[in-house]
Amino acid sequence: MFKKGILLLAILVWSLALVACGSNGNRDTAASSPPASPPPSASASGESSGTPAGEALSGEITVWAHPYVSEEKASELKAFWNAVIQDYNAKYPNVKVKYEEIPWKEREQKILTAIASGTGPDVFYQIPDQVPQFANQGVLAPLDDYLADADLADFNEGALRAGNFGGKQYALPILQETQTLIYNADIVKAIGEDPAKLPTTWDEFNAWAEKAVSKGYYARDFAGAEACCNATLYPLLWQKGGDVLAEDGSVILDNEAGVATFQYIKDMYDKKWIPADSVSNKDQFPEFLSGKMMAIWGSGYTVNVLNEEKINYVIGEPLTDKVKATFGTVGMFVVSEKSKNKAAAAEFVKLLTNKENQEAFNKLTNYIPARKSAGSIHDGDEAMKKMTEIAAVSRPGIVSPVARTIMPKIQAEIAAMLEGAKTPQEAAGAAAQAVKDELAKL
Amino acid sequence: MKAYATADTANVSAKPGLAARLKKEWRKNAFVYVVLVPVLLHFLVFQAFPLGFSFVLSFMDWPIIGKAEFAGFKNWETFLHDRLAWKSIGNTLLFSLYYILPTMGIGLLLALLVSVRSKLAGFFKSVYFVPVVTSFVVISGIWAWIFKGNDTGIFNYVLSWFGIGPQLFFSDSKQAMIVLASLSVFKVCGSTMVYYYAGLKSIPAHLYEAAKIDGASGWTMFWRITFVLLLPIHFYVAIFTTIGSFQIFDSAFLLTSGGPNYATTTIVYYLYQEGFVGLRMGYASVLAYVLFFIVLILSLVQRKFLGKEVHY
Amino acid sequence: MPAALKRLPLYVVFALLGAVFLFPFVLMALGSFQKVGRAIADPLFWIPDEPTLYNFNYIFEASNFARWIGNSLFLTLVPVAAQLFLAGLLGYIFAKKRFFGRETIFWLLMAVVMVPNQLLIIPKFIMFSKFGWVNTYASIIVPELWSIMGVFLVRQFMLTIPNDMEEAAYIDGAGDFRVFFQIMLPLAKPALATVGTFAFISCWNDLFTPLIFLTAEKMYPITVGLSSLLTKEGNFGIEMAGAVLSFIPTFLIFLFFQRYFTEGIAMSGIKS
Repeated sequence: MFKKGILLLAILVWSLALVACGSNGNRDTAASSPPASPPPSASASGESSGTPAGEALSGEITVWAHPYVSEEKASELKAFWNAVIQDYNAKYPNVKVKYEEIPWKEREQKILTAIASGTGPDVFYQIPDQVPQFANQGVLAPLDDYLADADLADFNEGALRAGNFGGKQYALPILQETQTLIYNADIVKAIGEDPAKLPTTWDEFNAWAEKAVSKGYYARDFAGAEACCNATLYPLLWQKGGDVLAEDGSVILDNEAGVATFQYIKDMYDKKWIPADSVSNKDQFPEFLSGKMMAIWGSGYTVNVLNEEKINYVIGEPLTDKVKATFGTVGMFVVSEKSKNKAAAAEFVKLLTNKENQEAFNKLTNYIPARKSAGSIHDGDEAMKKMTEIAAVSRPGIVSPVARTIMPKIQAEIAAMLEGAKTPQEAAGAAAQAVKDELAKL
Repeated sequence: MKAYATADTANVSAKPGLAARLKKEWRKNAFVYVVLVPVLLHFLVFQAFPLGFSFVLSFMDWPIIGKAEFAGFKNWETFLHDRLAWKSIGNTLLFSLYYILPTMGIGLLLALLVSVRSKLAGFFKSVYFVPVVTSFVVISGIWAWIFKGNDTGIFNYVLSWFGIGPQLFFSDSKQAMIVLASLSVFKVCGSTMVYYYAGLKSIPAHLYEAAKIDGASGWTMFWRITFVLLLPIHFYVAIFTTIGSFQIFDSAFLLTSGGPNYATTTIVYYLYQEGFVGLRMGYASVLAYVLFFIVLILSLVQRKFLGKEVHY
Repeated sequence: MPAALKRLPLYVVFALLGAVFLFPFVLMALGSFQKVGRAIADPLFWIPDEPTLYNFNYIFEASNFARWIGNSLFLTLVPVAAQLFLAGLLGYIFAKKRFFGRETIFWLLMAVVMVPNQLLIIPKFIMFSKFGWVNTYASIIVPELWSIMGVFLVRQFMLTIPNDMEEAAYIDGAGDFRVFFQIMLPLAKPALATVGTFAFISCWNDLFTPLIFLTAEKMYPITVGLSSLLTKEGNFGIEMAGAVLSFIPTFLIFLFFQRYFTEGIAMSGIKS
């Protein structure tokens, strides 16, 4: 009896499973064939048709964004979003906008699983190294159909290009940021150097670092865990003349420049230029703020906090070994391919990235506006003027569909190297192999 | 048609008996069936079907977004060559090593302590139990600050009293897993205490009295009587800590993100990464089945070695 | 006083261990009233010099904390109530009723005890996506409406109850429901208390399932909400205030039902 019962159950389960697979297959093919003509609402959204266009859009859109400011300014950021939504509703009274703030950590997982299950946002935030991956997975809706009336020429060219993949415009930029070393001016003086003459090459920085360490300071931070690799490895790699992928797409992370960069990181660690917990530290800002560290890798956000904490700081040039380069991302908003109200979502993205909102947003967050017409908001602010200059040599990370997935793998190899489990040569080789493996999974 | 007809008539002749029996059974047990049918349906939909479905999934490429395809044994083959998967199994075993025996041992010690006749015993039993009802998230939040890997870490501060320099804890691939295990020991030993406590209470007092007359020392009595008679409890506690240790996820997710250098990537954390970050549902199902097999084998082994009946 | 003196070492051990077990909670409680700046330089940063409610105010203003606690209550109390009811009912049926296939069905249900939850989460995610259940309370509640371990516990307990009372009630003409509610359910109270406490701990503290099934911030239970707070701020005081707030409800329940927690939990181990 027992055996029969099990058999019966097994058959039942299998048949149910097969039915489920079958029906799923059908649904997926249906979903993946795009509609032949552009969505009807796209043409209706043109400015020329006047007020009826605003009335024509209806439904609900969900917007996911992140905490771009520190906790002290959280309420101001909320006020910004409320103002944008109000603005939008004045134009499109029949669209309900739901705004949610998502923590930075694990955001990709949240967005992808939410979209996969049909509960995802209509509008969300992306940076350049995410766009190829998300577009490749069919998560992003091309915006070209909705941009007929948009003033694209006003966007900074590079920023706009970051939202373009395979000839389609998927994103409109709202911010640009750039990252560089920011020095504690008091410590610079304490080691007998001049804050007005900051290092511009690796050799100069190395000399300062030796001095700082001999006086009991850390030279700089190296947040090995979360900031990998855009804020840790890549800027150094580029400055050394290396890269992860060559122009032709081949992996060159373990070439001579790559190995030399790994070696440099290992040396910084062994010489105690960076804290011992750099292996997997998430945040060494406390060490800098409490005056134990000469320089911190930071952006406009960092400058914001330093102003609040009243630290005497100086912004450094991106260092040069062979090349002058640094990391600087572009913040963009995109529309989900699974959105039920793409036209309404696209209109929201357009409004969000217009001149006035770029000004308000970037004034608050201390980033650089991605529109030429909004470029003057930081005039008179020396620090931000400097950041804007640096933006000229900033690169937006590795642009590849695997850009995000390779980061934890490279991070693990750096950790192994810092702990002494692998030589820089081996770690660079293993990291390059991990990149190749990820590329093979595409 | 004819064949069916004859079969029908054959059935009809047997029918009155069966129908009557069914009717009788229904009258007697209608209550049972009304309750049982929805429960069994629920079981089929939420337990049996997913179990079979994930087996099917392990033979498919299932990216959730996009098209599902049959992949044959590809996922299982990938698993065999996936060094990270094997490392995650090794890590999980390592975690079990750091976790199971301390949890059992400390639980037993606490139980011996609180079974002393004293007014305070009951109070402290509750105190030691508080972590059990507290969520991993809360304790992880506190652990992050206690075990900060620099000189502002609270545990490092305590170590400095003994002249020990700052340890890296979460940033050291040898220590990270121990710190995660310590969190679990802290959280779970209160419940092993309670099991052992109940076990201690059920040991008949006359056994101790007899041993005392024979002149046995306290130490001998503990090992010869207490420890042996607690065998069923050892067995139960060993099983549930083992199963628990193979499902460890929360603290690795919250505190170390599987690092450094994959040192705290446990099976479930890796499964989560593959399934819900990499969106490779088929491969994640393979990992889930591997987890299932390990849990199953371990509990069978433990049953064989520890599950002997104990007679007083 | 010699007797008390003899006990002194015992009390010292009690207190020392108590201190170890309570220290993390003391740290949490003190820290929640401390506004810690970003520049932490001192390992005693968690002792408040000027106690403040800043952290709590911040949490309630900047996050959906009240809502998360409400979600957690809902996502815990509904399954706990259902599990209690169904564990009682099914435990009774499997212990006392004679019906066709009783043992087969029971051990079939029991066979899945060893199946880890993580094995089912992937197929469930796909199923629930199709049902439109992702990001709904149903995705958490419905699968947890009954648990076989609870049924097992109650069944084992009821097997030890003699049949006399039940039979007498039937002879008096009582129906199945009356026998169950008026006789069996009250008798099974200790077992049910165990089931309830188990269910409460596991539902309230679950992170993995809601992390995957609930995508909108408004739907989060406190575990997921707190974990997002932990990763977001990096601010000690705010983290500890969040931890305190999520700890209080469990602690209160523990205080009220202490006896069932510490005594009931042990039953499961002994009977199997």
